[in-house]
Amino acid sequence: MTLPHLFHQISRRKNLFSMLVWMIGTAIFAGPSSDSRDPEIEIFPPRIRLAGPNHRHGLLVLGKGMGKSTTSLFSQASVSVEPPTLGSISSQGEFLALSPGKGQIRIRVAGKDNVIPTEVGNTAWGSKVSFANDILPIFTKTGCNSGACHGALAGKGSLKLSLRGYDPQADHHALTGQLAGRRIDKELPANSLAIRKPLGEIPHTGGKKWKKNSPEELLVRNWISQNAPPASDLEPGITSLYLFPGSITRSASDPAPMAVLVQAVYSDGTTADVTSRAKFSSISEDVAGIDNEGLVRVVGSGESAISAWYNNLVATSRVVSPRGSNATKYAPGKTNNWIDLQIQSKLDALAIPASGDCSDGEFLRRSTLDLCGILPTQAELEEFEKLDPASRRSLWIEKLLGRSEYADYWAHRYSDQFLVSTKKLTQSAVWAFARHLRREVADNRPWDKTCRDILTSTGSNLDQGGVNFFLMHRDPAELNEAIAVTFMGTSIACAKCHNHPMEKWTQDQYWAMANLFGRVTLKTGDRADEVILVDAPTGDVNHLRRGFPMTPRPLDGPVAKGNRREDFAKWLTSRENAWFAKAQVNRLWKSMMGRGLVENDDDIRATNPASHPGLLDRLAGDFVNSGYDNKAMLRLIANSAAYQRSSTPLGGNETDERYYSHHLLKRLPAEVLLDAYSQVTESPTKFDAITPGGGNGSQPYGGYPLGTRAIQLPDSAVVSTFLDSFGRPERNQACSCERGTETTIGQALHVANGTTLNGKLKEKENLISRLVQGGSNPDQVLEKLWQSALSRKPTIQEISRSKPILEAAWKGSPEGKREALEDLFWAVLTSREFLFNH
Amino acid sequence: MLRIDANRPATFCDGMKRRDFLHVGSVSALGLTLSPLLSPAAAPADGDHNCIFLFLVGGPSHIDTFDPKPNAPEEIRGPFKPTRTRVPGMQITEIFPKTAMLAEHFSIVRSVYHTAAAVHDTGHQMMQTGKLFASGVEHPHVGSMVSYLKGSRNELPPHVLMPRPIGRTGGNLPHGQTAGFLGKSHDPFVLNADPSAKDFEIPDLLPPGYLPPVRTERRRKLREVVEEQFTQLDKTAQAKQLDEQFQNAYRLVSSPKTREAFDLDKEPPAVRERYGRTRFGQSCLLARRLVERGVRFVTVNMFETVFDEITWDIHGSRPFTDISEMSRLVVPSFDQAYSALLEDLAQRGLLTSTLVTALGEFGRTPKINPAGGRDHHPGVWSALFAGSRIKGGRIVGQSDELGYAPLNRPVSPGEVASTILESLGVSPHQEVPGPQNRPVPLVDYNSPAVRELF
Repeated sequence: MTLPHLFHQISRRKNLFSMLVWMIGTAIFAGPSSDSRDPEIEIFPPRIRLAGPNHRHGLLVLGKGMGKSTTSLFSQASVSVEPPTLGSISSQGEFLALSPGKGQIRIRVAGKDNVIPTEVGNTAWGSKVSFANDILPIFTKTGCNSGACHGALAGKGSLKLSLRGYDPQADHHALTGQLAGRRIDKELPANSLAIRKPLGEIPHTGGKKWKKNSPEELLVRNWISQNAPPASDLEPGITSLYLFPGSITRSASDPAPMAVLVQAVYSDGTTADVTSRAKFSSISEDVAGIDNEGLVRVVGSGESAISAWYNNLVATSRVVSPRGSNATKYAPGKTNNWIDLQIQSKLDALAIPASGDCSDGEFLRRSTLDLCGILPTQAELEEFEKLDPASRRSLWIEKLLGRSEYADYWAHRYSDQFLVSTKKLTQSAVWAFARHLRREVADNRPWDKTCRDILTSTGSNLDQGGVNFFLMHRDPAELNEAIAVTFMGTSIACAKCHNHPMEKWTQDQYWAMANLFGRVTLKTGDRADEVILVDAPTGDVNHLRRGFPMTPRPLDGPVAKGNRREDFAKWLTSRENAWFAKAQVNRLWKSMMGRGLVENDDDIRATNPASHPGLLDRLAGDFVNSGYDNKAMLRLIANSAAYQRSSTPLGGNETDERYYSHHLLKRLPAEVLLDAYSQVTESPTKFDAITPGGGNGSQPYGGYPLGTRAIQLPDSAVVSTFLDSFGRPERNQACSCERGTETTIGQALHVANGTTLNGKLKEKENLISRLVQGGSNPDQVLEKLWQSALSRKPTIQEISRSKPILEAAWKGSPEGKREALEDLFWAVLTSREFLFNH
Repeated sequence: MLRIDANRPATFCDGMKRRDFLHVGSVSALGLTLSPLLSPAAAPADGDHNCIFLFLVGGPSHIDTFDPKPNAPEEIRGPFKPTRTRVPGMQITEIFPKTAMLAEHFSIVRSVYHTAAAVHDTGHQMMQTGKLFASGVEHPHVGSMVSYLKGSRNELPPHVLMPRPIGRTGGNLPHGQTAGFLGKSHDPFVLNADPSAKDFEIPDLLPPGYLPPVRTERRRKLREVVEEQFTQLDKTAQAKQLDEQFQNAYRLVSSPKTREAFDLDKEPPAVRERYGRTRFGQSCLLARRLVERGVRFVTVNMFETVFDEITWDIHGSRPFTDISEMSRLVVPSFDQAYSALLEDLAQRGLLTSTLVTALGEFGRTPKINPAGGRDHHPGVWSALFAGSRIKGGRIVGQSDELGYAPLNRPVSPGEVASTILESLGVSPHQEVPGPQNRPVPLVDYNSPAVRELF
């Protein structure tokens, strides 16, 4: 399947039949004609099957012409209908069905013939207006059932509709049954409240939504005059939605709007052009906007995804806008491995230059922080310089991956992900879970096995660390949502109460998945703080609205037949599961590169496509093929030239934050920064109290010996103003958004004036006291400090401006010497160069 | 380059010119320029009002304060008689004589209620964010919403919380005093110091006391040396954004206005006395100073916990207070400070642009318990609104004859939040990016502002 197809086709599970019809149709169509087509010409839709005469369907004839820009070639094409009795083509390029039959639309452009297989059924036009297929989409398009209006949980005024029309039965009752049926008037449809309110003929808090005699009004009037029938299981349901074309390349210098086409496919195989009835949105409005009529206007450079929403389905298409058409050609960036080819092709498409290679010092600091959460020492810097320049970066990465600090750092990250904390767990449970996770990381256990073990764990929470995952989410619905975020990087929470507005997930699917976890039973064990997890033989979770349980099955996976959690874990970690591998490689990528290929990293969904979909697919594929080897994935990323790029932007890439043209800056995470202060000043942090239970009180805790690093703390409830201020995750909810990466006033004040850094500088026994006592001269001090804090030597300017201060102090008392050193350390350790990983 | 020199005159809010001697932190390397100081007590543009949010932690008894029930049985009406106020028909209890004299300035909503668990923490969440937290998602404090939408007016932060955040109140839940999902950069600036203390000083705002100016200056110079080497930070949009808060912090630290704004010694002794030399009184005075100097929102916690202090939490049994202790030890400091604040703001022409709310997290049980106290009662209680667009002297909603539940016009925490936002010119239901960028309305759609107050 081609990429555009992957991204713009969303289909629901009940559409097996129509998928079949579709595939057969595509197969016939794709036969001989696709070979004869000019690859630069694209014709949409691939087929048309209208319900009956008088229905219309738009056509797109697109060429990727000069500079690969997508333009309409309709005016240059000669279009004919065969046989001519089937229908005609309007000057706007619409096919209008005239009589039932089968045939094709022939489009001759650039000397080549293209055909669209076309069929017209025999349903009379307007003979039966469908509540689900025709009326509800109007309410969605004009915003009537949005969350801000009647779609709100409590409705608006006295009318409550389901959010974006997910519950046709309830909506039909609201419109026809409530308020003694006053909302519709079957005798005089134009007199209905459901028409007069949106027309603004009588006071309506939401204002005037439809124009008089607009298609919206006419259709609703027509529906009412047909006795306002409800949605019926017998009428064809929508099964797929397509947004054509799947990708648009166009630069902002082309101001002409470009039309898209939205095609709905129904369970009886018919298609409908729903462009005028779909609701549109764009992910990056600063790149491309789309209006209500489906006209795309490119306004800036970069990429965006546009979405069309119709009748609870959503389809997506990509817009690529290269930086100015007259942008100069740039020399490509360095290439270390296949990642770089993918990154480069995107940079080329967008005409963004790549910054050069980072220095060895920058590489050492960056890679050591990213892989082990510590700073390289002065000795390591010197050791590195002696190695063979051709291979030393790879060697260094290898060395980092083998260090115990690697396990500390990544175990901490997984503890974030799994919410390990005494807020909800006892101290002994926290240790059991954290030790379990650290062992898994240290052994580089395959990620699928780590996850499967946690999800299927049974027994005592003190022996099986993974059991504690279930202690933190005791409500099956909450557990369901946490599992989707933690293991699949996607949120299904919306579907708890209504069909997911940005995804294909329905409320039924949500509760079907929740029912997989309904048998988890927790019992008090014999030992102190012990909880035993067992799977009860019976028990179900009821659907929130329907009040009865759904057949247990994971989202679009198979029905669970055996042990429900085991079946779920099997589905989750199977090769076919699109989320599992992607979620993990995307997280690893983000923690190295500063931005996920999908951003946010726990917001993977069709309407939020990756910046580099091909790269993400291949990384995920590699990850699966390596046996879910986290270290191998980190090794691959760290060795790429994209990772090793300088963070200094070039003219032309300063504003890029998505395409990895220069390395993105990251503020050091709270724990890493605190440890870095301890490391550079040689003054460890004391951790001696915890705040259990999520409140504000604190109690002493003696379990952390002096020298324990912040990253080694298993518990997010350890008292530390510094860590709180710098955004340590609370570990309350499964969301990567918990880790604060912002910089705040409080942080700046705390670093500069607070007791944490100043306390370490003043500590009686620390590196400063040793430098005062030892025989180092100012030059050596500067070199030592710069190398251990900034991983580089001081520049000539830095030496010439700071050495005189030290030299003056060196002539004075030991106290004066110490004070000068404290001030020098303060200056380096509060500088932005120190606070950021760059 | 920002360098606040000894020779640079600065205009202060009292209109005097003073020489400033502040050299703090390193700022010139950040390429900052000092924003022009606001003119003194500038009337904010229409729609750009301020708020002083007095949070009466512990939960005042409505019957013993602003909703007296003189006709109820003795075990309900309590020991205090109602007293007339300057507004005909509005009665409050006799223990608020100073407040009663200012009734034309404030209105009472007597039908506030919530339906969550009757613990302090849930009420803290709801009264300050409009919402009960669910699934670990923390909704932002109303002041942080304002901070997020409007930003700061000058070098002072947009939202200041004092004296300290609410601590332990028994429920072990978050108290709704952060920016929640809006992110830490919109958290309130927390004072963490007692303005009534003799040696009142805000931690971290200034360099440690043991550093003489010569060393602060040396630190600044040395930091400049390092900063100037690292120029790539100034080039990218991302770096600029990352740096914004550090810039804000250095603006805060380096601005002469900061020290002056937080310096209560600049107030005449008579004014300090008028507010009362209590933690709450001096906090209210500081709140007025900050609003006058451009802070948009000030949250004052009257108490920080309900365990180690005498508060509104009058269970009667130890360690809690009973009704009579409340009237002797808690009420006078409120009466003193609240009346001083309204009077002072009105005299300075600030009341028309500054909303003052005073409310607790719930009311107290109508029936006095055997220990001579009253317990938690979220069924109904009273809230005070004054200033800004609020019309004074009104009573909105009534509780029933026993003070048990709203008799009419029930007002939910969400409606209180909407009222505050609307008064400040913020549309209460506008959507902001929530967790995972889901659009979340500031206040739920079904909780409109209490129109009767405007």
